[in-house]
Amino acid sequence: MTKLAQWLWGLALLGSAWAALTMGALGLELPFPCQEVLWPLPAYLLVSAGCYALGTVGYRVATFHDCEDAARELQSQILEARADLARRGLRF
Amino acid sequence: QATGTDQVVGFGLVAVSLIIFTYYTTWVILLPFIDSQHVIHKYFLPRAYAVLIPLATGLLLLLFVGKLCVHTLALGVHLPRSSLAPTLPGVFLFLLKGYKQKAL
Repeated sequence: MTKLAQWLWGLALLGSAWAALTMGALGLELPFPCQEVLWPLPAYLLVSAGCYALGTVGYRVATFHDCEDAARELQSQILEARADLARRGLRF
Repeated sequence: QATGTDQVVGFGLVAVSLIIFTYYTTWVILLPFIDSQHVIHKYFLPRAYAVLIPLATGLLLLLFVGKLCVHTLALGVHLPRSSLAPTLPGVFLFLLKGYKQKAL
């Protein structure tokens, strides 16, 4: 089974379980606070996943190791190459 | 070590995501278990908004992403092409890919 099929299966199972519980199709009487928590659950999971993604991206941006020396060296090499090519007649 | 603006933006994003996460978790998970007369309920909108606001934001985001896609595609349509020769390598690779798939 492909990954997509696995994901869709999992989503379908969890989604149907959630739907059955929120609509009371199983006939079990959940305490009212639990019902209140249950019906926004998909939205909650999506928002948490989004927050996790945003936080991870932000953290990796903040802790990314820049190599300032290599960057400067690269820039000077680019200028050198441009001068060389311009001398050989390539128009930029 | 990451430089100046990178750190500010990065940790800013982390802070924003943590704030949103804690507020939303309190709203959805904790509030139902807190006595309805407690003062904390004053700081949270009615429960229906806990689903409506993310839904609306999601739709807006999709709208913007779609607009960006259309805009990017429209940029490439009006460029004139002098000959088909530059597209040949791409066509060749595409056909090669097709034959490889068939062989499998």
